[in-house]
Amino acid sequence: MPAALRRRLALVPLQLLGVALVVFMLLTATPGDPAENLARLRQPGSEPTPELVAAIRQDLGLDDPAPVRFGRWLLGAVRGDLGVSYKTGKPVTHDLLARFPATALLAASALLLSLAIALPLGIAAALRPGSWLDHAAGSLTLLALTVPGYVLALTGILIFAVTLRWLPAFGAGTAAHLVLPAVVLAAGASGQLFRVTRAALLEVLQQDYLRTARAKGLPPHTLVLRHALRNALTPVVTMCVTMAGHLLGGAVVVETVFGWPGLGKYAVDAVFLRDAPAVLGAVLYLTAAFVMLGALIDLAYGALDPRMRADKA
Amino acid sequence: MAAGCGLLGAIVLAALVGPLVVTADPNAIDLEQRLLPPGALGLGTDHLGRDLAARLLHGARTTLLATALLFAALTATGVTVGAVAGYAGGLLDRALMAVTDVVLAFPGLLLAVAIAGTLGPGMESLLLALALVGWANQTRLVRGLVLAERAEAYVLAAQALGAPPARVVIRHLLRNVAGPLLALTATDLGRIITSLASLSFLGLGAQPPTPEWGAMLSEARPFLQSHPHLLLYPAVAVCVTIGASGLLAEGLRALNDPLRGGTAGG
Repeated sequence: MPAALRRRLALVPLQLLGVALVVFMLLTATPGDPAENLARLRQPGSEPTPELVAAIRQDLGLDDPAPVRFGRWLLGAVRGDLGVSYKTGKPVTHDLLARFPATALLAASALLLSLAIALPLGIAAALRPGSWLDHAAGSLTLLALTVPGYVLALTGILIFAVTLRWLPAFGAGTAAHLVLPAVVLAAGASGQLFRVTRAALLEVLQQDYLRTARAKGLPPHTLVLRHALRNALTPVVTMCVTMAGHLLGGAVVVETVFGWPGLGKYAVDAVFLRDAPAVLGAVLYLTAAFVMLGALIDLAYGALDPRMRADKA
Repeated sequence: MAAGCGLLGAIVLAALVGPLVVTADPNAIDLEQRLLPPGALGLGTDHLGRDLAARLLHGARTTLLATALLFAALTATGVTVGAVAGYAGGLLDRALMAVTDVVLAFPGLLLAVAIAGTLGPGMESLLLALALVGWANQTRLVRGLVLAERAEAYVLAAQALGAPPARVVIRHLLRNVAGPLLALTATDLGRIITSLASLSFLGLGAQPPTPEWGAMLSEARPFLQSHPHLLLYPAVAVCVTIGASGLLAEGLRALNDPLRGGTAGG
């Protein structure tokens, strides 16, 4: 295994530990007594008695020193025990798993859509830099990157849900509900993907081996698809993974605007309900997923770029 | 570049001078004058009868001030940590970059939501949250720039003359890369404005009745159907500001092209 990759993978446990530490510190810093919150959950309606609070405090070991509590909490988190949501009264892990499919569906749709838009446009623009198509796609990209997601979302609701009444503005359940949030997320993503694809392909197209390929008379589509694109793909894949991570964790705003029942909305709702275990559970799991995804793709680079297989660096 | 500077200058000027021209109190509620159409009273009024033009201009102050503060904090952290890591190299560099990579690994916006929520909604906690999750980006960029510059002849010359590291970095190295550095960090401006307005829109930043563009959009949402112009003004204001900073960053980048390998390792 190449040294660079080994270093990269060695970082993963460190990253996960860092994430857990930050999340735990936030959990401790949250105002309000967790024992009291839990007591309120067990005895709804009445103010919790001091005895019950003390019993729960004893039960959970909340009086132990912080490092001990961190160790115990970490052990629980690894086993999937993130505590109980103050709001739903269910284990946070249960809530998260219930919400995950919606977020994954939205992220995957947005990513596929942006790939379908950005890859062909990026290739076409790189093959004819300076053409009208290049200019048009470049301007569209600038627009997509300038307009913030929630502004685009509100515009989309105004046009397609309120005025034309083609699509629902809120909620989930049918394929029509997916359209607006996925398009809004894909707009920003395809802007970035377009830029990366175009730049990477432009750079590759200027290299000597492609002049050789052209000189020996390869047809243009073989030249571009087989030889150039394969080499230009590495930064595109990197971008895709970064974006997948951001879509999984960063769809906070779009999920909230459209009332999409995913993890982002769950986290935002929990923030306003001061439901600390739920917020931090969501952050912890999404970040862990993000970190693992990054590491997996680094492993997959070897397949795309043989230079990454050699033990250099 | 010129267009970006001009636009941004105009926005800053509007924020500074605007409230002196439109003297209406942005928070004065007048329920008899609610939801007035644009024309009669400048841009009209919102659902509480507050003057939209005044709110928009005061909102520019909120947004620009918060952006400037956050940008200054992120750049100061980024330049300090990045320069130390890039110049010192070795173990210190590895340790600092490991921390940076851990922070970069977070889904930033979500973590900012969690931190701001934990601290309690408000502009101060939002700024702190965004600073805590945002500093790593610029740190990486600055470190790359310093790393590439470290072996330049003038740096070696300063070292040979016996200048202490702090003096080499501050007086010689950073001063020489100030242009490309500014170009790199300026690309963060648009992101800063977007995240500030997004989280304010979610209700985590400026609290009512403070005029702020993201919060104005969120307050205007129930009137999307009946009075879309309530959303139009803050939306356009945010987009134009982001667009202007984008043009500025692009211009700065073109001005400093080629970057002398400035992004190497970043």
